[in-house]
Amino acid sequence: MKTHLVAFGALLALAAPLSIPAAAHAGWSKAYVAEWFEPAFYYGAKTGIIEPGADCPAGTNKEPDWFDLLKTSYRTDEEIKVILDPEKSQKNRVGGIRGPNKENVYIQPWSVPDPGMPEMTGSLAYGFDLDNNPATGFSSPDGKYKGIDNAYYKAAGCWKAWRGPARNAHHALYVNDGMRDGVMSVMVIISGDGSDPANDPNVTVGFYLSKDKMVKDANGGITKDFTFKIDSDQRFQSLIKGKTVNGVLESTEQADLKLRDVETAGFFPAQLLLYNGKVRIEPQADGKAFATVGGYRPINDYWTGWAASGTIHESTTHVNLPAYWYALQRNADLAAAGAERKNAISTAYHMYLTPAFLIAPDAKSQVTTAKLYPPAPPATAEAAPRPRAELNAGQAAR
Amino acid sequence: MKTAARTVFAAMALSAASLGMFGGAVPAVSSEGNMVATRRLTETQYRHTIADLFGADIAVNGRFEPERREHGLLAIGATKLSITGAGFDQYYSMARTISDQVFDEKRRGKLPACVPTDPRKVERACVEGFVRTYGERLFRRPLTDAEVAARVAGAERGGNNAADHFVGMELALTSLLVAPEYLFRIETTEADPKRRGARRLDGYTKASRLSHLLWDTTPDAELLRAARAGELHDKKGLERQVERMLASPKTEAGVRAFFSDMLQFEFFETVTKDVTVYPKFSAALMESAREQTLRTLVDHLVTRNGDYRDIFTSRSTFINRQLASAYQTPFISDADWVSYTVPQEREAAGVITQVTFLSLFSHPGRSSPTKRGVALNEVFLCEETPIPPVDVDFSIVNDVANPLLKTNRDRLLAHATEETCAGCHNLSDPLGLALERFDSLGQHRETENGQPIDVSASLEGKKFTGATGLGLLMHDNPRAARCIVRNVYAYGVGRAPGEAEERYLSDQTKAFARDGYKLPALLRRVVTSDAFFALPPVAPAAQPPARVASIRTPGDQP
Repeated sequence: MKTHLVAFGALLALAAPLSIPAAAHAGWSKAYVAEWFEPAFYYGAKTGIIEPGADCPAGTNKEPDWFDLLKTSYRTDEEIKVILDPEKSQKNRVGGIRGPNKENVYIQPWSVPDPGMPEMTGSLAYGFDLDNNPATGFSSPDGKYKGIDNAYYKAAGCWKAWRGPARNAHHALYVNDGMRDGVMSVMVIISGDGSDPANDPNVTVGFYLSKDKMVKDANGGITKDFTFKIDSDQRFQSLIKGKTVNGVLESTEQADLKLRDVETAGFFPAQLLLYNGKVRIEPQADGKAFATVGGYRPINDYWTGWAASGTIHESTTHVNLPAYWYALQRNADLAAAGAERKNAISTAYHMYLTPAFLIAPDAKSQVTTAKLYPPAPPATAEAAPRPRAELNAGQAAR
Repeated sequence: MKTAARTVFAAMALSAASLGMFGGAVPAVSSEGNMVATRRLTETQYRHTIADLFGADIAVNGRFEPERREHGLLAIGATKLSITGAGFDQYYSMARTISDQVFDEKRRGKLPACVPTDPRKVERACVEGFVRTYGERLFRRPLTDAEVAARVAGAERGGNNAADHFVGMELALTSLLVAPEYLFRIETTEADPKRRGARRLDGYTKASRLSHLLWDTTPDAELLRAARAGELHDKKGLERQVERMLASPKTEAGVRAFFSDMLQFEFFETVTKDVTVYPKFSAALMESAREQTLRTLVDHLVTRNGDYRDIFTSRSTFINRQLASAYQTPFISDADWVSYTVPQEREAAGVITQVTFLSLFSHPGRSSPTKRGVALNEVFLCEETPIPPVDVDFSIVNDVANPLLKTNRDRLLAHATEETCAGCHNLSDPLGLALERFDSLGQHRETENGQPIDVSASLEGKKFTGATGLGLLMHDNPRAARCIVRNVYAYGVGRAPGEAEERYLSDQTKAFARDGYKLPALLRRVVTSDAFFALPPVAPAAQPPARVASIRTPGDQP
């Protein structure tokens, strides 16, 4: 990441082609599409993608013994063999039924004792000092930042799903392939009031969803300068204030961030909600940018997607899901939204941003200011859902 | 069931072959007229004909044989083309799949053909009616009784063997579609009643010339009726049909086909770029570029009836999302295409600075002022450039990493100091150097290898700067107007104009100017002129086509 940073002078040169001439509310703006988006997990090993390292001395989590997992008082060894027989295709159907009273552990993970998640034990992590206490938390790998709160990295940092060098973790490859193949696009715009994009004390960052697909270039990368229409879905829009110093943007407030999560499967929550979020965006020499987005995410959002289709996830990422559930409970570090107990976990994500153009949800103007858009009205009166009371009244009349 | 019909298909294929389709033999002419020319149907003419007759949803899947460019136009080369054995296989395969679709159970009701009383038996009247009606549209003239009878007999044999009337119908249509009379436009003459002993193009040949120039497809029923009634030999009758045709939306297809030929769009099939240098290059971008240029030309020349010369200066065009990325501009629309005006601060020279021209006439890894200059001379000014000498040394211009010669201009100037090269380069390079602020993919740039690009140029004593200056130069060049006149005429008649037609072209060019350089007026004047339907002059002894600089081979020009 550090190698991508550019000096102040270079940033000015880079910003020029993308800067928009002064508009009503923005002196300048830059828009991007996230061409890669993954949890910000520091890989502590020197080689490979699952090797032992400073983060995970035992390496990436090992594949559980499914025979042992399924061994319960109500199942014979022969029955387990049948379940695990690939030709019988029963594993995915009953793999979660392993509680003492036939509970499905994907629904009631607490029904079994904590199997123990191999947690990250290093001292380095990406992210932000979310609790504004530099005395607690990790240090950044480059040594620039202290007090980093990234408890999700601690809980899941050795898990095969996310462990690996940048852009190489198992699940990151899977979901980013889906995103780049057109499931959705995550858009970022930065706009400022000043005349110098590299040093502007009043900057706003906006996050949006676009349903326009990214287009791959001839080398398999994402093509620059494509246009994306903002989708006004309220679940995926948010703003945060910041400032730029020598080209690097840092948020100057903590705001609840709402983004489209990178998960592409329908059983994962689509929204990435981050309480008390912070943002950092660093320009790169080729006009692209590198963003770090952090905040506290509800632990339930981290759990539900993995629990749905749980056996497949356990098989492909070698996790014992109840262990993941216990790790989330154990490492949650914020009681959010008025909760009495800690229900959110500090986390961070990395985004690799490619220059793009943004247009408004009505496709009538270019977006040059980070702002929120109201929800789209129903297309037609017929298309609008009828109120339930009206429907019920109709039934009663019959 | 259909297996039983295969022998009949095969027999018909042999029959087609026996009509002279292979080896460049001249197709048989079944009308009474003397044949004066043949032209192989182009791919778009074939597709438009099938769509006109049977519906745009009929898929035409197959590879058409390569076309041949002569004297600047494929339309001229088409008169020299035959069909190879492999090519006939393709035509035969296409004919079968088209017939299958036309008489598919779900579609057959769309045809105004009669319904058989017993679908297990071929109903002769049905087949005959179909062959006469559709055969006339496909052959562009009425079929002789013998031509009809042969197809009806084949249909009866195959259909009754298969116990399926519609198998017979399929056989009949397949036979029509592989006939040389369909695959070649055969131009024939008849005795001219106004001049004793003289001959003239017959009405059907005239109709075919009109429809293929103006519509890029077979004559419609009304045009064939006019031909049958002799109206195309009459000035007023001809003008009536021309006005009707020019008012038809099918004119757009004709204009698209003409410019696809003139602008050498066959190069889209082979264009490629070094993706490490031009990562935005893609098949989708090239397809978008082709469509952009055609949309621009149709909009300006047909829809707006604009001045032809403005195609070199206009900033108005159309873009889609793909092209917007190449132009580094937002695509502000929900539609697939949107009109776009190139900003004043950016250089522009109409179609010359579109991705089409700039990328087709460049090397894969770098722009080529020479290729662009040669193309401008050849495509828009009808000026041929001699091919380079065989022993020319391109090493200087190819050395793109030369630390002393950082720009194309530097390298070309060094190259052109060689006496053998200078003559031609002095004609082409100034035009191309003015376009150097556009890279091989047509993207705007200000520097090359860190060096600011100099786009000043001088040609025949006229100084100009950059693409915008070049566009004005082309706009005001009288040879550009004469070239489009020449091309419209040559495209329509299918041969290069000879010296005897110089006066005619000069007169047409003057009239073109008087009309405000409007393409519809030019088309109207050309197709209603006597020369357009004049018999071709007696050909002198065969000569090889003139050699012109080949801009289709990336390596042969610097």
